[in-house]
Amino acid sequence: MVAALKTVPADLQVDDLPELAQLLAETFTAT
Amino acid sequence: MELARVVAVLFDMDGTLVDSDAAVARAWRTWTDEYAVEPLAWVSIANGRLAADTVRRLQPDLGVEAVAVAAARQLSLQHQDLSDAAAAPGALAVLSLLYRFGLPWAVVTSADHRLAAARLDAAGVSPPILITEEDVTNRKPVPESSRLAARRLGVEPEHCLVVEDAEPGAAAGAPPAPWWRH
Repeated sequence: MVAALKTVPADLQVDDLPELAQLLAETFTAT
Repeated sequence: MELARVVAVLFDMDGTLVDSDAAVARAWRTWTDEYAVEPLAWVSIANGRLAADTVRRLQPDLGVEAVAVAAARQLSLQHQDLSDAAAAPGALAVLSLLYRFGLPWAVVTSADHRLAAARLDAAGVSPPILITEEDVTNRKPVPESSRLAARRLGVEPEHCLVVEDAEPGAAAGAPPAPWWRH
Protein backbone atom coordinates (compact mmCIF):
# COMPACT_ATOMS: atom_id res chain seq x y z
CA MET A 1 0.00 0.00 0.00
CA VAL A 2 2.94 2.32 0.44
CA ALA A 3 2.93 3.06 -3.28
CA ALA A 4 -0.39 4.86 -3.06
CA LEU A 5 0.17 7.51 -0.45
CA LYS A 6 -2.03 10.55 -0.27
CA THR A 7 -1.25 13.83 1.34
CA VAL A 8 -3.35 16.75 2.42
CA PRO A 9 -3.31 19.24 0.79
CA ALA A 10 -4.01 17.16 -2.27
CA ASP A 11 -1.74 19.21 -4.52
CA LEU A 12 1.20 17.60 -2.72
CA GLN A 13 0.21 14.02 -3.49
CA VAL A 14 3.10 11.61 -3.65
CA ASP A 15 3.34 7.99 -4.70
CA ASP A 16 5.64 6.80 -1.94
CA LEU A 17 7.80 7.92 0.96
CA PRO A 18 11.04 8.12 -1.03
CA GLU A 19 9.30 10.67 -3.26
CA LEU A 20 8.17 12.59 -0.18
CA ALA A 21 11.72 12.48 1.17
CA GLN A 22 13.01 13.94 -2.08
CA LEU A 23 10.42 16.73 -2.03
CA LEU A 24 11.19 17.56 1.60
CA ALA A 25 14.91 17.62 0.95
CA GLU A 26 14.54 19.87 -2.09
CA THR A 27 12.13 22.22 -0.34
CA PHE A 28 13.73 22.66 3.06
CA THR A 29 17.32 22.59 1.90
CA ALA A 30 16.48 25.54 -0.32
CA THR A 31 14.75 27.58 2.39
CA MET B 1 -0.39 25.40 0.60
CA GLU B 2 3.21 25.17 -0.46
CA LEU B 3 5.32 22.45 1.09
CA ALA B 4 7.68 25.11 2.42
CA ARG B 5 4.89 26.40 4.68
CA VAL B 6 4.38 23.01 6.33
CA VAL B 7 5.32 23.16 10.01
CA ALA B 8 4.61 19.55 11.03
CA VAL B 9 3.83 16.19 9.47
CA LEU B 10 1.12 13.76 10.56
CA PHE B 11 1.56 10.19 9.40
CA ASP B 12 -0.88 7.34 9.24
CA MET B 13 0.67 4.10 10.51
CA ASP B 14 -0.37 0.95 8.63
CA GLY B 15 0.46 1.15 4.94
CA THR B 16 2.20 4.48 5.38
CA LEU B 17 5.03 4.45 7.93
CA VAL B 18 4.73 0.76 8.74
CA ASP B 19 4.45 -2.06 6.25
CA SER B 20 2.16 -4.49 8.01
CA ASP B 21 0.32 -5.69 4.93
CA ALA B 22 1.34 -9.35 5.28
CA ALA B 23 0.36 -9.53 8.95
CA VAL B 24 -2.96 -7.82 8.28
CA ALA B 25 -3.67 -10.20 5.41
CA ARG B 26 -2.87 -13.25 7.55
CA ALA B 27 -5.20 -12.05 10.29
CA TRP B 28 -8.06 -11.47 7.88
CA ARG B 29 -7.40 -14.78 6.12
CA THR B 30 -7.78 -16.65 9.39
CA TRP B 31 -10.81 -14.61 10.36
CA THR B 32 -12.62 -15.14 7.05
CA ASP B 33 -11.99 -18.87 7.37
CA GLU B 34 -13.48 -18.90 10.86
CA TYR B 35 -16.51 -16.81 9.90
CA ALA B 36 -17.11 -18.43 6.50
CA VAL B 37 -16.64 -15.17 4.62
CA GLU B 38 -15.29 -14.98 1.08
CA PRO B 39 -11.50 -14.92 1.65
CA LEU B 40 -10.71 -11.66 -0.13
CA ALA B 41 -13.89 -9.76 0.71
CA TRP B 42 -12.06 -7.68 3.33
CA VAL B 43 -9.45 -6.32 0.90
CA SER B 44 -11.41 -3.39 -0.49
CA ILE B 45 -13.04 -2.55 2.84
CA ALA B 46 -10.63 -2.86 5.73
CA ASN B 47 -7.99 -0.27 4.95
CA GLY B 48 -8.40 2.75 7.22
CA ARG B 49 -11.38 1.31 9.08
CA LEU B 50 -11.80 -0.20 12.50
CA ALA B 51 -12.20 -3.96 12.60
CA ALA B 52 -15.78 -3.63 13.84
CA ASP B 53 -16.73 -1.45 10.88
CA THR B 54 -15.28 -3.97 8.46
CA VAL B 55 -16.92 -6.89 10.27
CA ARG B 56 -20.27 -5.11 10.11
CA ARG B 57 -19.92 -4.71 6.34
CA LEU B 58 -18.80 -8.30 5.82
CA GLN B 59 -21.44 -9.79 8.10
CA PRO B 60 -24.42 -7.40 7.99
CA ASP B 61 -26.70 -9.92 9.67
CA LEU B 62 -24.67 -10.04 12.89
CA GLY B 63 -26.11 -8.33 15.95
CA VAL B 64 -24.24 -5.75 18.00
CA GLU B 65 -22.78 -8.26 20.44
CA ALA B 66 -21.78 -10.70 17.72
CA VAL B 67 -20.04 -7.90 15.82
CA ALA B 68 -18.12 -7.00 18.97
CA VAL B 69 -17.04 -10.62 19.44
CA ALA B 70 -16.04 -11.01 15.80
CA ALA B 71 -14.12 -7.73 15.83
CA ALA B 72 -12.35 -8.69 19.04
CA ARG B 73 -11.30 -11.95 17.45
CA GLN B 74 -9.96 -10.09 14.41
CA LEU B 75 -7.97 -7.69 16.62
CA SER B 76 -6.68 -10.58 18.68
CA LEU B 77 -5.34 -12.20 15.53
CA GLN B 78 -3.54 -8.96 14.64
CA HIS B 79 -2.11 -8.54 18.14
CA GLN B 80 -0.71 -12.07 17.98
CA ASP B 81 1.08 -11.57 14.67
CA LEU B 82 3.86 -8.99 14.52
CA SER B 83 6.33 -11.27 12.84
CA ASP B 84 7.12 -9.16 9.80
CA ALA B 85 5.94 -5.62 10.54
CA ALA B 86 8.67 -3.28 9.32
CA ALA B 87 9.31 0.33 8.47
CA ALA B 88 7.91 1.11 5.05
CA PRO B 89 10.44 1.84 2.31
CA GLY B 90 11.63 5.41 2.75
CA ALA B 91 10.03 5.86 6.17
CA LEU B 92 13.22 6.15 8.17
CA ALA B 93 14.71 8.48 5.54
CA VAL B 94 11.71 10.78 5.77
CA LEU B 95 11.82 10.83 9.56
CA SER B 96 15.53 11.54 9.48
CA LEU B 97 14.88 14.54 7.25
CA LEU B 98 12.18 15.83 9.57
CA TYR B 99 14.63 15.77 12.48
CA ARG B 100 17.24 17.44 10.30
CA PHE B 101 14.88 20.25 9.33
CA GLY B 102 13.34 20.58 12.79
CA LEU B 103 9.85 19.61 11.68
CA PRO B 104 7.80 17.94 14.40
CA TRP B 105 5.81 14.86 13.47
CA ALA B 106 3.25 12.48 14.86
CA VAL B 107 1.58 9.20 14.05
CA VAL B 108 -2.21 9.32 13.80
CA THR B 109 -3.78 5.90 13.49
CA SER B 110 -7.16 4.21 13.79
CA ALA B 111 -5.46 1.25 15.46
CA ASP B 112 -5.67 0.78 19.20
CA HIS B 113 -2.71 1.84 21.33
CA ARG B 114 -1.52 -1.68 22.07
CA LEU B 115 -1.37 -2.68 18.41
CA ALA B 116 0.08 0.66 17.30
CA ALA B 117 2.82 0.59 19.92
CA ALA B 118 3.73 -2.99 19.03
CA ARG B 119 3.86 -2.38 15.28
CA LEU B 120 5.80 0.88 15.61
CA ASP B 121 8.27 -0.81 17.93
CA ALA B 122 8.69 -3.68 15.48
CA ALA B 123 9.34 -1.13 12.72
CA GLY B 124 11.85 0.85 14.77
CA VAL B 125 9.71 3.97 14.67
CA SER B 126 9.34 6.06 17.86
CA PRO B 127 6.89 8.89 17.29
CA PRO B 128 7.07 11.92 19.60
CA ILE B 129 3.27 11.95 19.56
CA LEU B 130 1.05 8.93 18.97
CA ILE B 131 -2.70 9.35 18.54
CA THR B 132 -4.71 6.12 18.61
CA GLU B 133 -8.38 5.22 18.59
CA GLU B 134 -8.58 5.56 22.38
CA ASP B 135 -7.63 9.25 22.17
CA VAL B 136 -10.64 10.41 20.17
CA THR B 137 -14.39 10.14 20.15
CA ASN B 138 -14.77 10.47 16.40
CA ARG B 139 -12.61 8.37 14.13
CA LYS B 140 -11.29 9.18 10.66
CA PRO B 141 -12.59 10.63 8.35
CA VAL B 142 -13.62 13.11 11.06
CA PRO B 143 -10.43 15.15 11.57
CA GLU B 144 -10.54 14.98 15.38
CA SER B 145 -7.41 12.84 15.55
CA SER B 146 -5.40 15.07 13.21
CA ARG B 147 -6.50 18.15 15.11
CA LEU B 148 -5.53 16.55 18.42
CA ALA B 149 -2.12 15.63 17.06
CA ALA B 150 -1.57 19.19 15.86
CA ARG B 151 -2.56 20.58 19.24
CA ARG B 152 -0.16 18.24 21.06
CA LEU B 153 2.61 19.26 18.67
CA GLY B 154 1.80 22.92 19.33
CA VAL B 155 1.06 23.78 15.70
CA GLU B 156 -1.95 24.92 13.70
CA PRO B 157 -3.64 22.00 11.93
CA GLU B 158 -3.92 24.09 8.77
CA HIS B 159 -0.14 24.01 8.49
CA CYS B 160 0.27 20.26 8.90
CA LEU B 161 1.04 17.90 6.06
CA VAL B 162 -1.06 14.76 6.45
CA VAL B 163 0.34 11.58 4.87
CA GLU B 164 -2.05 8.69 4.41
CA ASP B 165 -2.66 5.66 2.23
CA ALA B 166 -6.41 5.41 2.78
CA GLU B 167 -9.28 7.68 1.73
CA PRO B 168 -10.81 7.99 5.23
CA GLY B 169 -7.50 9.16 6.59
CA ALA B 170 -6.84 11.61 3.80
CA ALA B 171 -10.30 13.03 4.31
CA ALA B 172 -9.51 13.39 8.02
CA GLY B 173 -6.74 15.78 7.16
CA ALA B 174 -8.81 17.90 4.83
CA PRO B 175 -9.22 21.44 6.16
CA PRO B 176 -12.74 22.35 4.95
CA ALA B 177 -14.55 20.52 7.75
CA PRO B 178 -16.02 23.07 10.20
CA TRP B 179 -14.54 21.35 13.25
CA TRP B 180 -11.11 21.73 11.76
CA ARG B 181 -10.98 25.40 12.72
CA HIS B 182 -10.38 26.57 16.24
